[in-house]
Parts: sequence; structure tokens; C-alpha cells
Amino acid sequence: MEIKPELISSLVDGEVPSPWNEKLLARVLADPKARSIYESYMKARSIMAADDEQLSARIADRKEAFYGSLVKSIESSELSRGRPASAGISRLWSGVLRIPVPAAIAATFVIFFGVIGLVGDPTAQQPATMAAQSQPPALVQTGSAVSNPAVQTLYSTQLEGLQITADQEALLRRLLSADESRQRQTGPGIDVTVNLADVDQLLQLLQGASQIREITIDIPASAAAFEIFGEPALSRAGGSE
Amino acid sequence: MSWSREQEELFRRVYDEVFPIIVRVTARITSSWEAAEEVCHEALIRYYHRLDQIPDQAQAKYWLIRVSKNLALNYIKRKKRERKAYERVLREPQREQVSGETLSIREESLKEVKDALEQIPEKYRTVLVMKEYGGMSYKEIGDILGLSEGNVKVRAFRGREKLLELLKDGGFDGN
Repeated sequence: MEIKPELISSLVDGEVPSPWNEKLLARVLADPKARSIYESYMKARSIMAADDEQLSARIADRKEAFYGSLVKSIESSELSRGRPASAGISRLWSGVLRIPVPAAIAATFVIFFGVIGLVGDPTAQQPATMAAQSQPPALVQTGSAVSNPAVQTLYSTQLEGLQITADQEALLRRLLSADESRQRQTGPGIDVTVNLADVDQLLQLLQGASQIREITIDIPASAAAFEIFGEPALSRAGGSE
Repeated sequence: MSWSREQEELFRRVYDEVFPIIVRVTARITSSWEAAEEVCHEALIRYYHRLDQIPDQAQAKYWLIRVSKNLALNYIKRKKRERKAYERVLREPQREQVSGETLSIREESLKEVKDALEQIPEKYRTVLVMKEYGGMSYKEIGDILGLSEGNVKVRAFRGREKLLELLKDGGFDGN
């Protein structure tokens, strides 16, 4: 009776239990056709195993360093999660989408020029911005809105309900400022969660915030149909897609 | 770190057991060590965030293998899309051919296997890679992929046949 190649494949994989494996192997080796199949499977397997030797050496080399970088990532993600600014603010979305820095920068530029095109001559706003900067108390955190006159045109409505401390408010004010030199002077960013009504508002926020390093968008579980448009290489799915 | 000592120890145990497996499997699926590391990193971070939900080491192993396998498959799909887009725009050839003189016979064989693996249909390749490089049994593979043992057996066989067919086309002498 002819031995099926499928059975020989199982034999090579060590999936034929004892004592049948020994008996089957003896039968295979005695049959020239079956033996030829068996040997070709074993040969392919040995080449794959040889390839695996190189990989094993690399795994041994990298294992500890990789674990170190993994723990570092976990620690940094924990630190950013534990920041007080995020606490107590209701989230509009519950999924996670991370936008890498190049995408955020590109979006900033696109929106910046887009808004300039829509609003008109950007120099017309400069006096108002400068005036606001010369009068720091002009940006007052009222508990429900940010009232910097220069920023108000773009950000007044979407920041309603944002509860932040005085320090965070000062940093946020700098982030939203049109003054590039002041933005670059700010230290490590704070983690601010803003209850935005739509993506347009998010993009508006980006336009004034070149210091934002990473944006996390929480998407509600109810929003089942979520589709990413644009360059897929620039977007990366998070824990809940 | 905000995790408990038990969780930290569990994470380390799971890492020690599973990392060599998932990096092998994903490196074979993606054909890139760098991509494999990226995929494993993502999978392990996801696992960290689910430590409370997956307290059992065996479950964690299966979960991590399944997730990293899916991430690796997503990675190659994305790469294929990107390559097609570049080819359309730049009209570049599909693959750069490396001269046989630059490779030793052994390296050539390894490259042939790697190239052949890339051409095997995904469902067969995943099973074959898990078997050959992950060292898993048919039952374990079946549990991870949601297949019966019989189905895994058939896929392993067909994957191996396909691999041999492709290797023979490339001049590989099976005997």
C-alpha cells in the first residue's frame, strides 16, 4: 500500500506517536518513492534549521537589550498615563490612535496654510497676538473657557470645559501662542486632554501647537466604523485599533 | 512602574518563554529582523496593558503568538501595498536580483528558502513557520489559529509541498 506524502509530512514533523513512528519510518525507508519524499522534506527542513541557527544567535544577543527597551517604553507610557492633567477629564473617544511626529508636523503645516488661506492675511492678527503676549493675565482660565483674544478666534469654543491648573494653563497658553520663539523655550510637554467635538477642532489645535510630540485620540467603542484615510505608513493602530 | 511584583515577574517569565518564539515566527513572516522586533515590541506592550486580563502564562503565550502573528501579517500586507504604490509611480522592478557569485552556496540556499517562504500562500506559510521556527505542535498551532489538528496537518503538508516546488524551480536538489 502506498504511503501518502501527507503522512510522511506528519512523520517529519514528529507528529506520529510512538510506536507507530518507528514502524512508519522503517516502511518509508524501505519504499524508494516514499524515501525520496521523506528525504526531500528532511533536506528542506535542515536548510530551514540552518537558517534558524543564525537567528538563534541574534536572539541571544538581543534578548536582554530588547527587554530593557521594552521596560523603558512601558515606564514612559506609564509616566504619561499618570500625569495629573489627564485625570478627571471626560474622554470623547475610548480607542487609541497614535499619530507619529512626521504626520503631526505635516498636519500642522497643512492646517496652518489652510487656515491662513481661509482667514486671510495672517499679519492682520499679529498685533492682537503680541498684545496678548505682553499682557499674560489676558489668558484667564475661567473654569470653562480660555479667553486669550488672539487665540479665541480659533480655540475659544473647543477649550470649553477644560480644567487645568495655573501652571498647565501657562504652558498651554505658550503652546497656543503664535510666537515660535516662545514655543521652543518650553520644557517637556504636559499631557492635556481636550474634549473636542470634531476632528476639525483637533486640527485647529494642532495648527497652534508645534510642540505636541504625540497625539492620542480616544475613540468611543460605539464608533464601530472607523476608517483611516491617507498614507497608511504614517498611522499606527493602537491597542483597540 | 505601576505593576505589582507578581505581574512584573509574570511578564518577565512570559517574555523569556515567548520572545524567542514570536521573534522567530515574525522574522520569518516579515523577512526582516527589524520588522520582527517592532512587531514583538508592539505585541508585548499590548500584553502589558492586558496583564490583568491574562494572568495565566500559557494563555499569555498563545495570546502573544496570535497577536504578533497578526501584526506581522498586517505588516507585510502594508509593505506590499507600499511596494505596489512605488512600482506604479517609479516603475521599478519587483525585486532586486542578487548575483549568485556574491553568495556562498549555503547563503544561497538560505536565501532561496526565504524567498520561497515569501511566495507560499499565507495560510500555509503561517503554519509551516510556526512548526519549523516556533517549534510548536499541531495542537498548539491549532489552538492559536483556531484550527483543528487535522487542518493544521494538511496545511503543514501543503506548505511543505509548495516550498519544495518553489525550491525545485529555483534549482534546489531535494535529494
